[in-house]
Amino acid sequence: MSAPENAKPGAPGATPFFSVSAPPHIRGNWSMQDIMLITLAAIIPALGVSVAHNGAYVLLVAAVSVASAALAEWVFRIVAEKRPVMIDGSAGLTGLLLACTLPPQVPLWVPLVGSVFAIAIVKMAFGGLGRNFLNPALAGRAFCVLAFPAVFSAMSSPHAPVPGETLFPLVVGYQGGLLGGSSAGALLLGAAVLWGLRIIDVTLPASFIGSSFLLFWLAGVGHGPLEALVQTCSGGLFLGALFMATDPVTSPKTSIARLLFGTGCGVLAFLFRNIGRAGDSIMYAVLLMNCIVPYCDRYCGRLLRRRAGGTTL
Amino acid sequence: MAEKILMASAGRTRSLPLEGLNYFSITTRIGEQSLFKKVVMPGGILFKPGFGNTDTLPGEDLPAPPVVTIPLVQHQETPARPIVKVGDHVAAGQMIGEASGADGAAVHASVSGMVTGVSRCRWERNPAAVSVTIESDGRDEFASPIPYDKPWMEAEPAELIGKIKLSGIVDWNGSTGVPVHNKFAAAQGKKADTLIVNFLATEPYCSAVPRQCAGQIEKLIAGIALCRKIVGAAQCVIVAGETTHRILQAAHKLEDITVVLVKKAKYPLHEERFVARAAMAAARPEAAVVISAVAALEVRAAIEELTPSFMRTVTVAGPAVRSPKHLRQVRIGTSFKLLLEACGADFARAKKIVAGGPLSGTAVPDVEMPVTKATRALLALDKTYFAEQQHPCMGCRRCYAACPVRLEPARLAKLAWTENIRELENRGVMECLECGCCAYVCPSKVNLVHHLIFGKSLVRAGKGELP
Repeated sequence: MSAPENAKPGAPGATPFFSVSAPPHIRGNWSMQDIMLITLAAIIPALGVSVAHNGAYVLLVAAVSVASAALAEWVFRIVAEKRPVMIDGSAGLTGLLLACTLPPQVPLWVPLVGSVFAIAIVKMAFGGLGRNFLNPALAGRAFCVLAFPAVFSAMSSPHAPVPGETLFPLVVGYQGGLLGGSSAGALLLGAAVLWGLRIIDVTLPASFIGSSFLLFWLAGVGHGPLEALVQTCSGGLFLGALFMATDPVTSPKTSIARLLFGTGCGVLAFLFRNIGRAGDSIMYAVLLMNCIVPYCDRYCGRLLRRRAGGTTL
Repeated sequence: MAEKILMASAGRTRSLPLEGLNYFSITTRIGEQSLFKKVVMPGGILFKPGFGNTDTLPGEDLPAPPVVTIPLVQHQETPARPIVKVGDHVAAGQMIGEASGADGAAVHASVSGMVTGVSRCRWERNPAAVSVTIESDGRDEFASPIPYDKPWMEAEPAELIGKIKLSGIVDWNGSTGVPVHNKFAAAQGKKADTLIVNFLATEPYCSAVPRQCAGQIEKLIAGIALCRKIVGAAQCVIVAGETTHRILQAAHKLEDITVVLVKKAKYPLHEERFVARAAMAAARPEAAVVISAVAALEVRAAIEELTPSFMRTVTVAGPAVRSPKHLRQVRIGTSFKLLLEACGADFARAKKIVAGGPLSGTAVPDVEMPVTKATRALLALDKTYFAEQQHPCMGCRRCYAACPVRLEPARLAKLAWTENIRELENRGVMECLECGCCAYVCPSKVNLVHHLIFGKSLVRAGKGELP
């Protein structure tokens, strides 16, 4: 490498130039696609339960929803943003989550319209992945509920005079209800996988489910904890707490803020279910709390930061 | 600097709650009954065992180079003042830069020969920093040191600290370099009762330090004893990884030294603050001072042999290096090119040269840059590893979990982007170690460290500390 003075870079014998960048110079193996695909896979148990109870039509609804969401993102990028398409899997995930919040016998144009609204208006129009302030799947569902109320008014739920008999189908799954929300057990299984891979945390779903359970219990004083548990496991609360509220984009970042967010969701879910329209309580609870996420993050710093950083006197 | 190097133990014994994966350390007291303790710490990265492991590489002495370029700034603080001029003849070990300011450190010639240039150091942003170029005369003569008035064993600690100051020893524990005489003076002021010696090197490819110590364990223990004497520390704790621990156990000369063995050390554990915390597993000091093992070696050399600090052991490795090695006795000021050539680096294949480890090291644009007292490793990478941001941040919080000082990297990056200086400072951007854990774990490959460094410079500029 004996280079003559002032040799041109790239000339034979010249000292080559090297690229420079800020550290680190190696990167971990996790990519965005991995996270999205694993989250997709985590919903599959719940979807499987729904197929078992409601038939293969459920898969068609999910497929239409996913395909229209992906297509909407692709068209938006080409037409409005004039940027190359990046496949990150987030549109497909939004589509699948939206399908999970619909009734199983929904006409196919409902997931189509909902997905397009969720992707084009809620997500892309606000700047795309990472910049939307509402959960796109829930906002898409909210649009459908307002636009086509008749579709949603026919939803059924397992009602039995004895709460103990209702709880079992709520955990393992029943016919009707929400497409992806009829089995608390299957949802918990998927969420456990996500927690094991540190994609979601425990704080937020636990405070959501815990606070609403406590309120159901305290409000229905005479009925006892079993009745409260039935309330907690029904109406898509688990779907909302485990998969919707934990959406990384629209949930707060620090643990204390997540605790606040989850508790707020739980309290609102209780209020909406007891006072307002029971069917959409979880959706509106999460969407409302989504709106105050920036404030949660601003006023809640990380716990113990001083302690960890301030070891040196 | 006193605040940076000392730490108090009162009320700091509780371990932190779990967040992300955690490492734990087990303490053993050599020669007595073993005691086990689990220390939980937040953040950090646990690499796969064997990744970037350079423990078994061969060692080789690097001969004195024909030319050295010695920057007179060898740590972050005040640059040294040059006391030689062009045409002077210097011997190896002769002081060429005088410590200036309260936290400066002296700089010495690393070869004997003629000074051919005293010019602005083109690798440093500080315009006051100069570098001295020395052309070797090939004789490699060592300067005759200033002898003691009486045997050094009888000397007062203050006098020994003076000798250390003349030797220009800079102690690098992770990302901060502090002159050792400053550390010792501060430790005396605070009446430190514990000396903590850091043997850890948790970054991949950066095992030069434990390797250097392994060969000179007797000298090292003598150095530790000297440091204890100077500080006046009643107890001494060594924090070591598994490889070094085996060597220490074989030494059998650690009568009253406690050894904390760190198993499964996560990546930035070699940082001073975490070493201090790991030492808490074995001791409850009122005030303690942390020094690195290399500094202990150099303190011994400075006091017993009156040899200043002008050599380093550097690991040269990476995918574009044909025969990776530990190069010993590398003179300060040797150009990186010489080191890389000694290890058969393939310059056609190398796309990026990194001084330091792959997570916290600096990518160098020019292989003519010299070795400094901070250089532990030199890597030639065959890809640019320039991670272009692939996706926007979606708030997955992985960087939050990985941050060892519990900052909010993603949020700080956005604040830096919007130049929100006040909020950056409130959220502790200045505490960032630039360890690279956040950017390493980011699934969107956001260049978080880049943003955080920018945020830090914004805060410093806001305070008028930067031109």
